[in-house]
Amino acid sequence: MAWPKKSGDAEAPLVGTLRFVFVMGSAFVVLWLLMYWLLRDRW
Amino acid sequence: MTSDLQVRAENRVVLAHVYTSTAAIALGAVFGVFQGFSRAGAVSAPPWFDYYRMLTMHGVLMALIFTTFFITGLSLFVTYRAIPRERNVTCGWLGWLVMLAGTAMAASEILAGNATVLYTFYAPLKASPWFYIGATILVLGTWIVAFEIFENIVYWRKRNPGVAVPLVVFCAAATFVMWIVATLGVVAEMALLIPWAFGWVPTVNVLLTRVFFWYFGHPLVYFWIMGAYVIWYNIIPTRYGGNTFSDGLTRLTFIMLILLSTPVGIHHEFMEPGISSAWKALFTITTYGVAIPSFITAFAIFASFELAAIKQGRRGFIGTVKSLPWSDPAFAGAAYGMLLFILGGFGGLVNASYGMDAVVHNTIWIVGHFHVTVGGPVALTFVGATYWLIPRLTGRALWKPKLALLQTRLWFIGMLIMSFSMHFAGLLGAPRRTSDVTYQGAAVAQSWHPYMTAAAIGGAILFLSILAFVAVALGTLLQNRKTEPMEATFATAAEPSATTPAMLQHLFRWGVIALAFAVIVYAGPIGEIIRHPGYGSSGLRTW
Amino acid sequence: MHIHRYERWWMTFGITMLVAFLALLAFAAVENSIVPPSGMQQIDPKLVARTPPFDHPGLRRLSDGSYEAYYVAQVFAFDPPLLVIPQDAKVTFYVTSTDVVHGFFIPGTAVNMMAVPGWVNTQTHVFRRAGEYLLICHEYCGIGHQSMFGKIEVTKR
Repeated sequence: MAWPKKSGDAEAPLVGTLRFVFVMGSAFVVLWLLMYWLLRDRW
Repeated sequence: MTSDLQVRAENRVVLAHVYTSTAAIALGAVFGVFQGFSRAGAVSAPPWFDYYRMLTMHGVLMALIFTTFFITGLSLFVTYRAIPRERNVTCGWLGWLVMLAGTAMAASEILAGNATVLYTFYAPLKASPWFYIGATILVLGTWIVAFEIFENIVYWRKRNPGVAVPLVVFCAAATFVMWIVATLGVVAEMALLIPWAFGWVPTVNVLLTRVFFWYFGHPLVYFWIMGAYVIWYNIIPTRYGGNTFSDGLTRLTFIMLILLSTPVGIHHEFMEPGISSAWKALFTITTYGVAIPSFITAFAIFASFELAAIKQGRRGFIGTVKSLPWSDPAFAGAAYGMLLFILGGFGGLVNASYGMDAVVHNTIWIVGHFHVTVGGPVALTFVGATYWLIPRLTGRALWKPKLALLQTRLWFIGMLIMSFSMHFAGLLGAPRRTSDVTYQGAAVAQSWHPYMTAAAIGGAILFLSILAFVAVALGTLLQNRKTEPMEATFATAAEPSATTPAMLQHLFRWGVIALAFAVIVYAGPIGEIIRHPGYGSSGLRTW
Repeated sequence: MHIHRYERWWMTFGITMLVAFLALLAFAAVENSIVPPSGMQQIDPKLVARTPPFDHPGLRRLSDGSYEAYYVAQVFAFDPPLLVIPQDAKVTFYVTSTDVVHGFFIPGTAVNMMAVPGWVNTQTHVFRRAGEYLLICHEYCGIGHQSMFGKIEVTKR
């Protein structure tokens, strides 16, 4: 999908942004669950 | 355009704020590095200037003075430059003087050993009344600066009906709207503590003072974060020829921060009695809510990077990262700050997680956490912004930009080392706010020692980094190499303000709604505490 | 105001993640009682030494085999300094302070409470692993804060 010169209504191909936020988001999920799993025997 | 004389007068006010902030971080760093070495068992504080007096100074200087004076300086600067007019600057000076007077009063009490109560000053520890009065005067000084910014907004709206307030000024003003709502909490607490400290009132309700403190304490950290966001959204894009991603999205983020920064404070009190578990669960939910504007910011900032990269014909994540000006000190400071903030964001989610907080509450994990939220991201962003500000205030080129760049990298590395070791030691149970952690050789305490040593090493690197920062900040001021006065341009939005719905252009209205929302959310726990008055404390001086 | 479609996806992911975490926390709270401590019982901090059960701090065994441990935290020492308790026994800690706010934290466990003067805070725990545990005050309470600690001996069954 060629992105037109002038930023018309077609959206910018922010694939880098998408990858960055989803890698960060999934890292949060994994680390949070890991924390919960590793520390559950403290209760 | 305003006269050169006017701009120079405005610059002097901003310089006063900014250099007070630089002095605070320089002095605060001396205490900080000493604390690191003390906890690693390398040194111990002399009785005439004990560890906890140092810790109080470090907390007050870094968390209250360095941050507040920089935010007031920055906010005045963006307001003056984005709304140019022939104005007198007495309000800017008055704010600075009152803030400084309050700071001097509080600091002299701490230095004299009459206020070794740390920067959270929890009752029943009773400091000298002049410490509390000094802190209150500092807050009132910030209200004077807030008034100056709000007055300029009213001026703008009168002269440009229907036109959106310049984005950078909107963001700065939103920061102070949230600040006013938040500081009502600490003023309420001082209304309880000052008469008690003078002895006019025999006892104080300890739990009530703590709830009032944290009503203020958490939005205090969002005051710092919003200060950094003003820079990330509006100034950093000019360093890589980019635009703010979207005007409407930026205003939405700041309005959400106005609404959600305050009704979250009880996540600092999960382990306390007197607040039932149901209210604590509610505050876990509201704290999760305040993570959302930061999620939006993560997207908006990287999107701004990528838009600029696309303009340079680059693609994707790697292309974008490569396109950024990593050798520009102002950008590097903010960028390394953003990277550290990812760690901070994750830590925050764990801390707010109800029962899970029991594993980390009041351990050194929490100290590791706030060093990668305010100590890293906010501080490094302010340091980077200082490299951008001083040339525009003094007309002198930045002294030794290579040293400034090295400084931001040293800070990034030092902070990673210190913060990671603090996080690990915290998971092993090492407490915060203790002069040493040996506990007469207890086995579990010995397991903390290597991490405390690593933290001290990270602290030493941070100390060198701050020396370099102060050198560059002073070197720039003292050198006489004049350059032509540099323009302060602020980023324009890729998606212009014309598309921003009117609802997102209001400010004071959202402040009133935020106050109402905070009162509603806090009505539960505060009502519960008032219904169980119980036994007040007369206060002690245990240092 | 146009919301980029990637932005919408990201916000959906973020909010779903937060809701999922909250659901897990609710499950953890209900199922295996991972909840913060709390205590609504009040006590006059000046009369702690004469208010049962804090007039005799220490351990008490209940008929059903579980235990209660009463702790008084005061400037720079816990009373009792040492507690001996069998492995796998359920113990409920009752903690109060006579002066300033102290911490009551057992590293390696989630026993983590604030001892606030005028209040009694409670938390229940089962020590699965035998051995020596450190009990520390992790809320700044004055010049001796770093040396305010106690010991808990968990004896093998």
